[in-house]
Parts: sequence; structure tokens; C-alpha cells
Amino acid sequence: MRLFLILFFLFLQPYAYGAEKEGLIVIVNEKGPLTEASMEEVRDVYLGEKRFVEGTRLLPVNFTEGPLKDLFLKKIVGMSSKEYKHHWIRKVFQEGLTIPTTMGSPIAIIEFVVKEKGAVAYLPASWAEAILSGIADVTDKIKIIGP
Amino acid sequence: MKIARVVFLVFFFFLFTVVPDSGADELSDLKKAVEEQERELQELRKKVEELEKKRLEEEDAEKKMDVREHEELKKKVEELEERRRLEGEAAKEMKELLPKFGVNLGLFGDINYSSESREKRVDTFSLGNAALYSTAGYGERLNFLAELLIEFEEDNDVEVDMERLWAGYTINDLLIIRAGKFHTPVGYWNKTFHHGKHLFHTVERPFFIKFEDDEGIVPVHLIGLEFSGSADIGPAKAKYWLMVGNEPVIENGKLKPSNTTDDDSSKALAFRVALSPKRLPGLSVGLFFTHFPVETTLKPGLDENIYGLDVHYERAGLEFLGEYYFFDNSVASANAFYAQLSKDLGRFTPYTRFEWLDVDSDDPYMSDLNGAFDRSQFIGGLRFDIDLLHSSLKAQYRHDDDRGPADDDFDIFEAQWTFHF
Repeated sequence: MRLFLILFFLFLQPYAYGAEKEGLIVIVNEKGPLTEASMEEVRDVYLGEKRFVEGTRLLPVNFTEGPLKDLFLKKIVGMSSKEYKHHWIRKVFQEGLTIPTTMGSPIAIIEFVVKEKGAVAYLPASWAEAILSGIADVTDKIKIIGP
Repeated sequence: MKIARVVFLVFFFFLFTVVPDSGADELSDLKKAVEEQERELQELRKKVEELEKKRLEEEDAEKKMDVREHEELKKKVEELEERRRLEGEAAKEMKELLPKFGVNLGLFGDINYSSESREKRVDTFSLGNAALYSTAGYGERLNFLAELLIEFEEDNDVEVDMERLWAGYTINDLLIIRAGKFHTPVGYWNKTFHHGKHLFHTVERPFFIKFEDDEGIVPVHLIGLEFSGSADIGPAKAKYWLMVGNEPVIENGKLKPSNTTDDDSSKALAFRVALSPKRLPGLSVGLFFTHFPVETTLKPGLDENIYGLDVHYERAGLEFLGEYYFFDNSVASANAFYAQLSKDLGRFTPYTRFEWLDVDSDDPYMSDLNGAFDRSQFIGGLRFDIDLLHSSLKAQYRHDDDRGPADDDFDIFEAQWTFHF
């Protein structure tokens, strides 16, 4: 499945990580507790303010540093990268929390979201069509919830 | 004429008996040839059919081999994936068994320079504190934190204090239970900023909420139980902290948390609730309260109460932070507040702060504390982030005004290099 995804996106889907005009999508596990979450709730998850829903531990995933992450922080979290880092330094030192996972590969992110019920992540908007168009083993396991 | 007729008859007799024999032979030959050819054709057809059959059988056999090989490969991949999954789970279990102290280990430190001040009587460099901390979590709900502070005293002695040590369990977002030593939820600053000076803009905390051994007049540590949580309450998000623990004591003019024993069975209580309105992102308003019995010289068994309000607003690089404290007991009351403003300009952050304390000379609580006298401070400074996460430089001017009988004022220049690794 992994090789198929790689080839599919190489030959059929040109993508650019984080071009601001492209936009982004927020994805969650189809069977998880965040399928009806608002972007405000997604913000709370990424700030460590919301950690559990219906007994399921929430697992936010950040993209590696770059335009896509900056766009997500600006549009959804409402913070600059600097403010976000400061927020999490305080969270770690104050409450002993763990910083959200960081991944740089959309395919690794998709695989993680498929595997973990409490996962939430974001991708460039160009991946929306690919996810919805019926890729084997993915379409019915991932839901796009915004923005 | 008769002879011609006879010849003609013989000729024709001969023609019909001999010639017909020749045509019949040829026909027979032809017939034989055709039959022969038909036989050969049938044999050829038979051979083609046999070859076709053989080809189909071979194709079928090849297909079956492809399917078989494909099935075998698929099975191998599944076995490898299952093996990888089991190894991953085994590694995860092993990781969970191993000690985690040091996995998330950090240190906050600072080096300072100050001109003559109330705290430093000469221009001087000084080592600040080294705050060593470690955090760890097991499973989804259990986590721990330890913060050890190495302090350098005026007489060059080194003091080591366990500033925070707690174990916590998360039931859900509404209820987190911790036991140990924490910062009290008295105000925004004390719950947000601990001993790491890299975490805040100014060189030092507001003077009346300094740590107990630095002559602060608010009990900023408590040993006991903490219940905290957060909830969405419609137009706002709410967070709360409730603590119950050992009451502090006053020794040699300083407050002191009771790490190992309490003076009596009555306990200190601290509570804070903070609301963040959804329509005003970046704003947080908190109400806090603490009650603690404390032995004082003028009145033994005094019940001291501190009520307060804190406001924090941060948006587009602009940050405002302000807190008001009302100290109250059965004899007297006191007021304190500070207001701080800063602006993020990339790597530079200019800031300013005003602090005020007003006490009653008859107050038994304030009378026993070295740091409790009418005082105000004005601070203006600049922070430069060498590295956002790891190091900063601060330079500030501070006017320290003793508004009491001593009337001891200072104009101080201070610089600080903070680091975190």
C-alpha cells in the first residue's frame, strides 16, 4: 500500500508543502472521537488544553518546521511559530506534558492517522482529492474535518 | 460405305472402351488424391487441436504458478509485517519498563550583572539559580515532574532545594490529580513561570511574589494535593486549580513552605479559576484566593487570606499582564499590584512594568516579613533572543522606591544572560 501511495502521488498529484495559497486540510481517524470536532477544538488539542475525548487519548501531529506548519498555526491555532514554541516550553516545564509529535512525510502522517484512533493531523489541501478519490485502504479510514 | 461404317463403329467402340478407361483412371486418381489430402488435412487439424490444447494447458499451469507465487509472496509480507508489529510492541513494552529519568531532562540557568541595589550593595556579577528539571510519563495518564534548584547565597554558600516534586494522574480533561510540592495557583505569574528565568521577559519576578527565600510575601509553594482541570462552558473556556496542603511558617523574616511536617492539623487552601472568552482570543481573566493559618509574633494562630484578580492578554505580539492582591486578616489589610506590558518585535522584546505594595504597620503578618514594607518599582528593559528556545540577553533599568520610613531609593542597571538546555 505504501509503494502504491508513493507512486500515485508522484505521478498523479503534484504537491507543494505549505504554499500559502494552496491551503490545508485537517484529517482525523474515521473511527476516532474527533470526527465532529470544530477547528476550535482542534486548536485546543494542539495547545495541549484538550487531551482526552470519550476516554481516548488525543494525539496531535505537527508537520516539520516550514510554511505548512506556519499556515496551520496562523489559521487554526492563532499563534506565530515563536508564540507556539513558548507556549509548549511552558507546558512541558509547568505540567510535565509532552510536545506533539512531528512528522515530515504526508504518507507517514496518513499511516499514523489510520492507525491511531485519537490522531489528528494536517496536510496540504492538494491531498484532499487523493484521499477522497478512493485510494485503497485509506478513504474509509480517514475523515477530513476542516478547515 | 459399309467398310467406313465398320471402321467408324470400331473407332467409336475403341473410343468408348479405351478412352473412358483413361478418364475413369484419372478421376479415380483425383479422387484418391483428394481423399489423401483430406486425410492429411484431418491429421493437421488434429495436430493443431493437440497443440492448442497443450498451449492452453501450459498457460493454465503458468497462471496457477503466478497465483501460487503471488500468494506465497503475500503471505511472506504479512508474516514480516506481523513480526515487525510484534517486535514494535515488544520494544514499546521494554521502553515502558526502563527508567525515564533523564529522557526529558533540562536545566535553566542565568548569569547576572547588577549595579548597586537593595539586593546587591555593590556593582557585581552573580551566578543566578540553576534549575534542574525532569519530566516523565507512563501510559496515557500518569506523569511526574521534579525540579531541583541550586542557589548561591550571599555568603557564597550553595543551597539545594527541591522546588517541585509531584506525581500526577489524569482522569480526564476535567480532573487531574497531583500529589507533591507545587507552585500555588495564586495569580497568573506564579502558576505560569517557575524558576527558569528564560521563560519570562524581565530579569526578575515582581518583588512581592518573589520566592519565599528571596523575601516574597506570598506563599508560592505548597505541599499537599492539587486538583485541576479545564472545561468548555459555552462562551468561554474555564480552567481551575484547587490545592490543599501544609501551611507555611515564618522563620527569620521569611516565609517557608513546610516540606515534611505541618505545625498543626489545619491546612492551607488555594484556589484559582481562569476564564478565556471565546470572542476575545488571547484574553484570560483569573480570580484567586488562598487561606493559610500562620504563627506570627504579634498574633499567634493568625488566619491570613489573600484574594486577587489577574488579567493576561496576548495578541499579535503585544502582551499585557496585571495582577492585584488584597491581603486580609483579622487585624489589618494590605494591597499589592503590578502591571507589565511588552511587545514582540521579532528577536527583540521591549518591556515595562510597574509594581506597588502598600502595607499597614499594625499588620501582624506583614510585620514579621522582611520584604513587607511600602514599596514600588518601575522597570524598563529590552530582551534579545539569541536562540528562542535556549538563550536570551536582557538589559533593564529599575527604579526601586522604598516609600516607607527608610526612604531608601535605588536606580539600578541590570543585565542577565539566560540559558536552557
